[in-house]
Amino acid sequence: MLRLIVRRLLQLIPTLLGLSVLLFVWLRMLPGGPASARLGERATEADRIAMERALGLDKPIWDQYYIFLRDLLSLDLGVSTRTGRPVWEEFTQRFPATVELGVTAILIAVVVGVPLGYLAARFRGGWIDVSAVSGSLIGICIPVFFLAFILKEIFAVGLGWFPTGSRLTTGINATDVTGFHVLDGLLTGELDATGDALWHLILPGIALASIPLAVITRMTRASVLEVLQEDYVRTAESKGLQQRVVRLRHVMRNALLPVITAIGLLTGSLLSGAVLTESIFSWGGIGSFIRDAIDGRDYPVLTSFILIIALVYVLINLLVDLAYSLIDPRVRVH
Amino acid sequence: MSTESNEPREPREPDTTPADGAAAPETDAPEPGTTGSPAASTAPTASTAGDPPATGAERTDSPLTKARMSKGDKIDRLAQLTARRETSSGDSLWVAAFRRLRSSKMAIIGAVIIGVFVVLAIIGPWIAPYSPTAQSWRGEVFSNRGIFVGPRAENWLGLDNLGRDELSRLLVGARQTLLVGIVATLIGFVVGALIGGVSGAALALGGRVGQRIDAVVMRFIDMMLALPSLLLAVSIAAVMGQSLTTVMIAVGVVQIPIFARLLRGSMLAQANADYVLAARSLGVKRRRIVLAHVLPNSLGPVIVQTTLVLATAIIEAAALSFLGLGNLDAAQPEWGVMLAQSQRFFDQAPMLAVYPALGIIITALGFTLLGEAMREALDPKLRS
Amino acid sequence: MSLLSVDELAVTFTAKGRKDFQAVSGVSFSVDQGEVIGLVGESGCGKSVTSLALMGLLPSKGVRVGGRAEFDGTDLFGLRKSQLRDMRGTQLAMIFQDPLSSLNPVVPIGVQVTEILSRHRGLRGEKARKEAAHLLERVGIPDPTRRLKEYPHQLSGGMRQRALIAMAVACAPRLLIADEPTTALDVTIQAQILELLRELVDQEGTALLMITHDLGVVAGLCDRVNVLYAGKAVEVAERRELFASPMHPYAHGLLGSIPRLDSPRGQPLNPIRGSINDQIAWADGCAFAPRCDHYVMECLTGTPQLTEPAAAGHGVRCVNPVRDSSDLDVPHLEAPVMDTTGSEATTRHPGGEA
Repeated sequence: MLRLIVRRLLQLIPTLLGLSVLLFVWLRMLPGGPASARLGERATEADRIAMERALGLDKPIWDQYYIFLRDLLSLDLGVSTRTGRPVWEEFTQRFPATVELGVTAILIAVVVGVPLGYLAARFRGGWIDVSAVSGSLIGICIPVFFLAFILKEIFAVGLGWFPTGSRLTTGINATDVTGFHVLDGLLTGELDATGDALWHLILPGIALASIPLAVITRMTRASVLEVLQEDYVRTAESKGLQQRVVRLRHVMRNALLPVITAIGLLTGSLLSGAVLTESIFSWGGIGSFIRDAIDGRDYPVLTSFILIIALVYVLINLLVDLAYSLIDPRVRVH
Repeated sequence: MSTESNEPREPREPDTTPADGAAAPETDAPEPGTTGSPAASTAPTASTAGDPPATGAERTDSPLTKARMSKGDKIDRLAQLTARRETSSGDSLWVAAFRRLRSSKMAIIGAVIIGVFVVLAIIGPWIAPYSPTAQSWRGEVFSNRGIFVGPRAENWLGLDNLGRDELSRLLVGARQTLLVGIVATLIGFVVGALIGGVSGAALALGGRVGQRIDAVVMRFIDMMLALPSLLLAVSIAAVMGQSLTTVMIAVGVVQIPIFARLLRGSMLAQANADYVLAARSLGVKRRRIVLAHVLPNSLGPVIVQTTLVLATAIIEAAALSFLGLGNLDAAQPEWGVMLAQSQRFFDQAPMLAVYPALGIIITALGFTLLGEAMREALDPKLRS
Repeated sequence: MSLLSVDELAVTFTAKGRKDFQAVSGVSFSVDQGEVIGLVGESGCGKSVTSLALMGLLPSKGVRVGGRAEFDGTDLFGLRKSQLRDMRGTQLAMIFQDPLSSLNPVVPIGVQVTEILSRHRGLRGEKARKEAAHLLERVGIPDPTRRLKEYPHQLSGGMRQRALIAMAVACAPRLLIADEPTTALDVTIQAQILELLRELVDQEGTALLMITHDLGVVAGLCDRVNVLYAGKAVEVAERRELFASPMHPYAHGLLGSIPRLDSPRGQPLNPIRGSINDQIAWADGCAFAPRCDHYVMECLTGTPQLTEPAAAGHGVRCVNPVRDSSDLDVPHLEAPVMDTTGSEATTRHPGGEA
């Protein structure tokens, strides 16, 4: 098990190095540059050159890359060319917001999707099945930004049940410990902050959950249908076991295996959805910050953020694989 | 696995037909004395059981029938009774899949939606009652004061924020939307299938070099997959500037790793199949195995994915438009852009956003339904 | 009175949009305490469906079960689901064909054994584990405490089948249904498993319903045999009687088709023509007629009845049965494939629980 983890982590290094080279080249192909983006259109050529020298952009690209790597080894991600603040600071300030939103979405998707998929499979062809299947098909087809927008217009702007954006009501007293507001409230005992954070999470969470929910529901349904046909379920029934034992131990434990893998792969599409959802609910996460960084040609922020996101994605999938091998003993052998 | 173990869940199609209809003697059936299945496969579909009176008559003189009965009679009766309703000829995988597809409700609904959409995309510009760009009723709409014109006799779906006919814009926009979807999917399919095909073929052909090629290509694909697709698309759009082409390429590029992964995985599964081993042991050249057997057999999931990606492409194009990276050319209205631009006026004129949104959702649904139905039709596990 | 008596069992599959398919019709037999009854036939003849119907394991949708099955006085088909659950494992238990796919791949063997102990015998924790180890040991699995922690894929084919048998006998069921328990196994393992089953029957007085297509298994194990064809019993007889003088052309053909080591070299094998797909509906006559060498016109005049034309207790469903089996030369099948001494009489368990 440990060897697997180490091997996978070692495999990560060339992937990330390759990605950083690609990013470096790719970003410098974008028209314009951080200097002109920051100075605006009316800046003189001399101003631009001076600015580029100050940012170290006048050096050849391999020198820039060397400096980037050297700084990276001393855990220095550089300074944002747009805000002037350290990239790491910008990241840690925004990352918890996105993670909190993403985790909420996945939780909604799993808590609703798995039972729904199971029921759809058990009562195949019944009304639950028909509505779950058609609902998930439609769910995949609704653009996330439109769903987020409609939810906000109806339940926040129209009915006023939920806040229209941001992570906390202004004025609420919340001590920052981890950056995850829900968790912070629980840690410091400021339960009203936790409640407020949850209240803010509901609409964007639902919007972001739409695609994972649809995928997990369909996946669970297909998987349960397959497992119900298995001989070992029949064996379990032949032993006269309680229905609960047959369903949980024999059906669900096997049926959830492919669903777990799907959750790992969904984190990728979740980040895309986060960019859109965050901009509608003015969430202040990394999604909208990256969007602005692209416009501002903020090389240090883009390189570091995207590398970290890729790292997180790969790590999540590693975790998922480990979880999988814990549940499925057949994988452990390899 | 024997059919025996499947029996309780999947009743075997009965091979015989019940006694109904008149007898139709079949004279060219083989003799029961010869080896092989007598009559069964040669019997015509029409014939079934014999007529009861004759049966009764035979029963009455039973002690003698054995002696008097000619061999021909015996054969005829058997032929009638064993006649199959339908000769299950060896249909190819694709023919069988198509037959299942035709009987699937999902596939039919999906195909109808796609059909309507394609027809609209083709004839839209001609049946549009007005020019999609002419701001003919500009004087009647004041978006800054919240004054909009809803549906009326001359403008069935009302006017947009610039006083243009909404219906005409939707009709003309169908073509742009379809174009974005198809071109983006084609880019993803062609490039992705090429990369995945090369990688899969390299691995299937074997050898150290093949493995190396595959490893390098797959690392690259993994890198692309590790990037959030929308960010990738946004940065591509940033390089290329705003235009319809940009959206097509940006959305298409995002699909490349998906197609590549899928085709490679599918080819790998085929390359490990027993029939490849059999072909190899018969001395068939590896290149021929890959091109004539592995590749064609791996295309099923890729074709399904193509249909599904058509839906994703349309949705992602709309997302790019929402982020302000869409087509700026007002002469070419596109549903994604129309949706993105009308969201500003949602409070006053929600329908201006709802129309293009419904167009996108229904069209994407059509492709998704067809794709899912195809997936089910091609899945050997779901066959019954 | 018999432990299990099945009367005119009929199972019909009713799929929507398809014609009903009668998988089993008019199968009747009974099983006594300590008796081994064989259900023999080729794939698709309805053996497995019969066993699943008795266990109540057929899907509730799309299946119609008719006839009667009485187990120690209770009507199996009249039971509520919960009552049936209580009976499964304690009164009736089943061993399946493919031991690998019949075991849950992600649950340790130990849990799969103890769960039935805790369900029916209320054993938990260390007690349940001890009993499970004891059960594994009893069915011949060495080092049982270690095996309890292992997963099905870590066991050999024979071990898996032994583990399945351990689960089946965990609560001392009075009737064991074995559905081709040796088909997926090597020949040497097959013999061991059959011996184990024999032991269980001899020691515990368990009744065994043996479902098989292997006449060797029948010869070695069964007291009475039901030969099924296309969902109907075509011949019912004592094992000795059946092997000596099979009267239905199908049973006759089955016995005649066994290759023999002592037959002259070059003598062709003698298979039954065609396959089970070449059949006619029972309503029209004998389903076996298209493959039958003894086929006469009467074969097509309605469903033949089970009669006893030669000897009492030897039923044959045929209008033109084989009267003279002198062409059949199967003496070695009388000599069992394994040691079955004492398997003749059904009264051989004076000390067994009655």
